[in-house]
Amino acid sequence: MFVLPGDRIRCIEEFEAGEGVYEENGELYASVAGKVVFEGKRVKIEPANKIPELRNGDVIIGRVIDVRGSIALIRFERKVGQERALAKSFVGVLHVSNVTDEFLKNMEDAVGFGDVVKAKIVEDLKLSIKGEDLGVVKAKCKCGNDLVLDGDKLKCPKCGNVESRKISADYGRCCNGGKGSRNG
Amino acid sequence: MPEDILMEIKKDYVLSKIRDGERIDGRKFDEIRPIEIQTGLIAKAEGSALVKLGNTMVVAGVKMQPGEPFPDTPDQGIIITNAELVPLASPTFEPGPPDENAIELARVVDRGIRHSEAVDLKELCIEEGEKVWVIFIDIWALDDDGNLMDASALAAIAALMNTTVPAERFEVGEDFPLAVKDLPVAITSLVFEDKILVDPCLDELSIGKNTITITTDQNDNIVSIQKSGPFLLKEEVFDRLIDLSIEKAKEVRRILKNINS
Amino acid sequence: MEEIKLIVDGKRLDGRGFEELRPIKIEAGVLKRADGSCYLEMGKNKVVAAVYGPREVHPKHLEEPDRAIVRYRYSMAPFSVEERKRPGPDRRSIEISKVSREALEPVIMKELFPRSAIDIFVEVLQADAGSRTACLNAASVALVDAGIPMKGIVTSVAVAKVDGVLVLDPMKEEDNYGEADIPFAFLIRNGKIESITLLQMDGRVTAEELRKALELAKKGAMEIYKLQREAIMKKYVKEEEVME
Repeated sequence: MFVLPGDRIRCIEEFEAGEGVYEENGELYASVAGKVVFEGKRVKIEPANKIPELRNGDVIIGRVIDVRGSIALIRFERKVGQERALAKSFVGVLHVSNVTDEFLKNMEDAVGFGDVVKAKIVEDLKLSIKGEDLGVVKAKCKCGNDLVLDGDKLKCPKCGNVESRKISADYGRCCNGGKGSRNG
Repeated sequence: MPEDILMEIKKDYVLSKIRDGERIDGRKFDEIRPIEIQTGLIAKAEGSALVKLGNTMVVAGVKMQPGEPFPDTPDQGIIITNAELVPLASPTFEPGPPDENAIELARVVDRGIRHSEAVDLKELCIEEGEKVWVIFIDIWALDDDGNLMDASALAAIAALMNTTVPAERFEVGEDFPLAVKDLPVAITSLVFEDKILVDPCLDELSIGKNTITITTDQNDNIVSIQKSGPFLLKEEVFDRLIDLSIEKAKEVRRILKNINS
Repeated sequence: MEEIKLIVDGKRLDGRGFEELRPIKIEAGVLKRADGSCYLEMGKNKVVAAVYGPREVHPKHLEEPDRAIVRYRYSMAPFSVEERKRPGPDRRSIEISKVSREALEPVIMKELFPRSAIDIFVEVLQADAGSRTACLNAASVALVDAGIPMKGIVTSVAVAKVDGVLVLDPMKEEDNYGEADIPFAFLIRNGKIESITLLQMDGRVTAEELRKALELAKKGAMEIYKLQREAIMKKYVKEEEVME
């Protein structure tokens, strides 16, 4: 059943208000447009247009805003697969131990300031870029040009500068999931 | 406008009082604060009035000058109402052009005067299509202890009642007193759940600036309404507000009628 | 000025009955970039509404720690009226923006999105009377389209007094030469009018007329509410079928 905000959800048994449902004076109402879903003792709405929400395990696209010693700070910009902006931006932490399974000493060999990365939320604000498709998807050279793939390194086509990164398999062609077709 | 931190603290106290059926200043729910009106205090203005509504204080000045009529009303004078929430009136007012609150205040006062036809605009025609009187009503808040709206509306009409049209200065005849044909009165009430608090003071507004202003003319017609504030108004409350505002306006109108006598 | 008769033989100048709305057309989700949007025609009014957010608050100091802030910008295009309107907010637009925002705010579940902003933009492309009500109706659909949690749907309509009678949804001539204009907006929940969220009045009516105006507005609002629902259903229920 498709409902709109304010529609009363009729239940024969007692259900608890889940996502997209609110209770007032003992009645349950939808707060968003979408399909009614009963889940155990809860009733929720599968929204027609979902506001992005981040959960552990989600993959985000973010920007590196600081790199120091064994830590990089990454500002969350989008949830992968969604064009919609996040309700508020978070800053997550990437520790050097979450870059690869091999030993890596220096964070600066994995990400650089200003890089766009695809990262997985391990727990709350803790991030990981382990895995083939995670890691840097876009980086710029200090001279301002886009770095391009050169084997397992990144190279500046203009000044010849070579930099090492934990590169995502999507480097240079990340389009944020299936919805858009604009290749980066 | 940043809120005063004290407002946050006072909220609980005000609410507990209301739930006990009381107001923090001991007034009844439908009781208006004492009103004082002083007119003609600004000799340079064509008309002026200072209004005190409890501690809330507003001065309104009327200036007039000949100007071109609007093309669609070639035989009518023009009223322009402006309000300034100047920073001396409250720690939360900031310098700068009128914000949405000042604009709303001026427009609601203006509608009351306009739709009650307190001023006969046709009597303000000097030369049809060419020259008419333009009335500038400027409302200056001096002290905001809540409900600037009613104090401003009162100051505006009192200032008009006190206005002399400066015809001699502009060489278009002899000076004459501006004829005021109706006495619009605005009554603002704070709405909290199903409770109505007439003429809220600032402390009471700490529970939310959810007000209704109903302006009536001397024949008890309603000439302006403004719901102000993000709240849901129950029909039943609105229904009570109509009669309450008409009754309360009568009280205020009596005071207004006495100022020139 | 010559008297303009607004009611002739029990009909209004555009042939409508007293309790009849102007033709309304609503389409949800017309803009790609916005998170939710709506195009709406109400008589000769043509308006577009867009909703962005919840998103980050700029400037930062406007952030509220416990809820989203709601912003509403009513704007008229220079070509929307007979005489070119200077772009940018004038005093009328600022007041309309304020009361419209306050009409939606108590319906939006702001507390679900602390420290964020929900921005509602409405552009009047062609103005007739009642553009604020048309814009609110469009904004309401755009909010649903954006998936913003709300207690219900906001629906707006005006009642005017012309030639001594109350008429629903006044058009330009009735607004210009009528005796009163009373724009309303309501929170409608589960097909029932719950409360008033916008109320203004401009003109002169008796207490009795005001009460009647409210009843008339409620009737009109219920009709518009059905069209708002249909517009949203049309967008989503079709998409659903394609997905399945």
